Amino acid sequence: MAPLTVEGLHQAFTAADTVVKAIDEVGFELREGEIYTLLGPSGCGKTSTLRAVAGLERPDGGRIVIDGTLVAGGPVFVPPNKRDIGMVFQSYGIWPHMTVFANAAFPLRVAKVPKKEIRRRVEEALAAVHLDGYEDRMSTQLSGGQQQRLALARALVRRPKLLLLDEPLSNLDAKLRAAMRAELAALQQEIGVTTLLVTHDQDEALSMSSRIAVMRAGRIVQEGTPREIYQRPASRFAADFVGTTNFLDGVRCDGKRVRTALGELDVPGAPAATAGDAVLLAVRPEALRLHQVRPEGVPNLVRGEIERSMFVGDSVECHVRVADVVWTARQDPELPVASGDEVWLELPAERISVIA
Amino acid sequence: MTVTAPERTSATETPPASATRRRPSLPGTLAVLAAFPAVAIVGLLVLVVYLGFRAHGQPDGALTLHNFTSLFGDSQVWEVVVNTVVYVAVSLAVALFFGTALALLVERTDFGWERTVTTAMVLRILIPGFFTAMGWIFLFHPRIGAINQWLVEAFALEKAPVNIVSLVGMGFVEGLALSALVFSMVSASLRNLDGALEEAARASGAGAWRVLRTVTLPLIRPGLLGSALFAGTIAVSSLDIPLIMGLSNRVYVFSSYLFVAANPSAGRPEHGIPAAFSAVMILIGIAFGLWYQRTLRSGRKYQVVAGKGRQPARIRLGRWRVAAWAFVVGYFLWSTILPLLMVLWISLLPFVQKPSAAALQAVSLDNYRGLDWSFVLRGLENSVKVMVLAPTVAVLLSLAFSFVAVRARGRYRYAYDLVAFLPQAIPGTIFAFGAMTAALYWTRGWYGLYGSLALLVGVMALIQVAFGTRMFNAGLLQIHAELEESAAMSGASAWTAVRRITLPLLRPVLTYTWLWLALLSLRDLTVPTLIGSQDTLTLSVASWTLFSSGQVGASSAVTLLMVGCMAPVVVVFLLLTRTNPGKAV
Repeated sequence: MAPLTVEGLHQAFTAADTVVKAIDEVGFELREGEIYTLLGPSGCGKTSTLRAVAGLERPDGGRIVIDGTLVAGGPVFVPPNKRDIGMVFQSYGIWPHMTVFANAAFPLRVAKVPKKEIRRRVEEALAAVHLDGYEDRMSTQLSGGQQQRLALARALVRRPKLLLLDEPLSNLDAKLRAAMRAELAALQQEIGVTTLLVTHDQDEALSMSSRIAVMRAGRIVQEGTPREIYQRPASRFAADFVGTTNFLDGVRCDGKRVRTALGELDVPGAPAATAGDAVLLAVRPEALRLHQVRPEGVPNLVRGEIERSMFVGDSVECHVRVADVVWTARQDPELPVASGDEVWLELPAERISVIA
Repeated sequence: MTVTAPERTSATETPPASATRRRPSLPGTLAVLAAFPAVAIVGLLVLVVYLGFRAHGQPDGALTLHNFTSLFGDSQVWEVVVNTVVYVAVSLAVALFFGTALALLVERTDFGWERTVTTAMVLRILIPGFFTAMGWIFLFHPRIGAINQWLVEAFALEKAPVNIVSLVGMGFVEGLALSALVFSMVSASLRNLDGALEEAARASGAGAWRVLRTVTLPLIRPGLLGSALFAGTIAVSSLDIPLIMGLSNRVYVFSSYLFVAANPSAGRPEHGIPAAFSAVMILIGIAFGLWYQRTLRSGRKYQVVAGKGRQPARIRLGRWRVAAWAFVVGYFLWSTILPLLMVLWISLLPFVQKPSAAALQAVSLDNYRGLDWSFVLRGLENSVKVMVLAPTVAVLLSLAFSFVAVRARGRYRYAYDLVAFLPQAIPGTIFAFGAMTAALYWTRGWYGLYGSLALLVGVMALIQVAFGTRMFNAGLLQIHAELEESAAMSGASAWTAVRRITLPLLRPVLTYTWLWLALLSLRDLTVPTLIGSQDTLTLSVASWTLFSSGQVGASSAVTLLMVGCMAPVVVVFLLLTRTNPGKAV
């Protein structure tokens, strides 16, 4: 039995006389113990979907089943407090008038758990997020990262079937965010709670998720593992939104070759493809190999000119003019390039995505 | 595309029992509860307009336009209309000038003393209007005013140079009283203004005056307009100064005309023309109210920075500092300290005399000893009852209104917001008048409300809903919705979330609002005079009753007692708002 099943969810609202479909026939299913991520730009419907799962919004249609219990669908609508879920909000939602302990104990107190049991379980939860010893502090005395961990402890203290994370790291600074990403993923694995994560941050999605659903305009446009999403984007949108991508239009010659303005290129084999189809090729900046001297016997080679090279520490980002477009190539920082240099870009066939 | 579309089959789906039973939502329940006061507010206004079209304003009177024609046709009534316009105009000019000037001085120059001035201004709002009115009479009455007498003696004048019991004089005193309110609102606007906007103007080469004229004042326009609207409504509404300064001279404005017409010393009460007058006032109030709300909305459009901006570098006063000091000291001396001392002086004398060595011989506590204490204690008891009950009811009603206005999803919430705003835009006098008439004609027998304390408390609470809702709306908007949602996600029901999360977080605003309304209830003379009876006599009414029957010394004594009663509550209030005294109003 899946921890969460969402089927045909839709929700619309009227703004300034136009009907906006916030969620448009969204469906997915979570597997036990995984982190499933809804990734997309703001306004794509990911947060609305999460809030519908939480019960904070009532969807117009569709069904939501949590661990075999129908919580939304038809006339059924279970209020959020009756759903077996824990949630971490973007702003954390830590109550400023309570201590750390009282914040974490609240779900158990509401559930009328015996006092001794509460103490034990809260201490356990706080220890899990490394907040032991902070019990009697006022929650406002905590730093942003600590508040975030407290919110997590509070969400987990009831041992819910499902954990919902709404942009949980977006309020932290860059360094702390990277550290918390690893910590959160490790903790989730340790506890094994099935998690639905919502984020617009591709690094967060790629590094933490078991599977990702890329959303756009209320719909899921691609679902897959982080590797599939990044390396084999199914649409221009997915390729563009997740990471930086260089695009090239072309027409199929046969199953393994595509004709483009830069000449014919080898692409990964697609037996079912028919010649004459218009396709879009996508290559990641780090997949491009940059040569300063024209190499011999290398296929998929295009000539370009360095417009600008930007040293960003762990790499050098070269903006290369190829015919009438500018491509980005990420190279080793030691590469001695300067504006105006003539270079050759190699497009390894196995790293080209062919988007129909 | 590899979107999984799960089959519609799932195995054991058992909706829990509680899911199928729809429970009423929290805002929905509160909307039903708040509907009663909302209907009362609108109903009272509708009633007043309706009475305006009935002969003599009696519900069973003949339908007529006579009341409106005499409002504009009858020369006596027309004079009252003109008086009201002049009186309000003078009050507003004085209040806006002093309030804005002091606010700019404190917030934008290096004058200093910010906390002291702000606290003094809060106290100034709480001083009862009739108190200042009495003080100014003792200072500048053409016959008994001490300063007038001195001036006449010193320069051998034919007649007193200043006549404070004139229309302009009344407007001036009311304006001084309202300047504290304007100060509070304008200085709050100035504090919320991002200083970078003004500094940018200064960096562009504009002088201090130019910045003030072209940047500062236009940006605080909503604040200025709001304070003008509130001050104007209060000026129209309040009875204290028109009664004490105008009645003996037969100078009537809207509120005192309404009072006298409804309580004539001889003949039958006339409700028709006051109702017609009120109907016009309601129209004007609603028009101004809507204009103000539109200004607020458009003001938000170009609100560059949300929340508190940085304060700009202060303008250095330099050699103008002396003038600034003279202005501030002069303001407090004339608006508060001298009137207060005069009331104290008169309370120690058997009859009104200007301060002199001879008069000092007559000083005694006789006025206090000779007070009819059973009368005063009755007033005290009622005052305490009103002071506790009215704000409590008002706070509960305002909470319901605010929850609906801020947290409900339906469009009906705008209606609640608007209704709660009405008592702010429309003079309270009109609500009192409507309630009095309704109680007179429609509640008889055992449930008779006419002249009862319940009616007094109810009307005061309804009027106070405007202030309470404004405070709680702001308070609720500051509580992030996710704080309540995380309670729901923790398994708490909506009511539990309100009880355990929202109300505790609102507590500072709750306490503050309650105390402020309690103080305003105690100082109010308008509503208790209009709808009160012997049974509901409050201290403020007691003082007015003594004053109107010529017992000026005793009246002064009662006024001072009342100020004494307010003192402890004021101290608590100031302690609670220590960090930000300007939050008032």
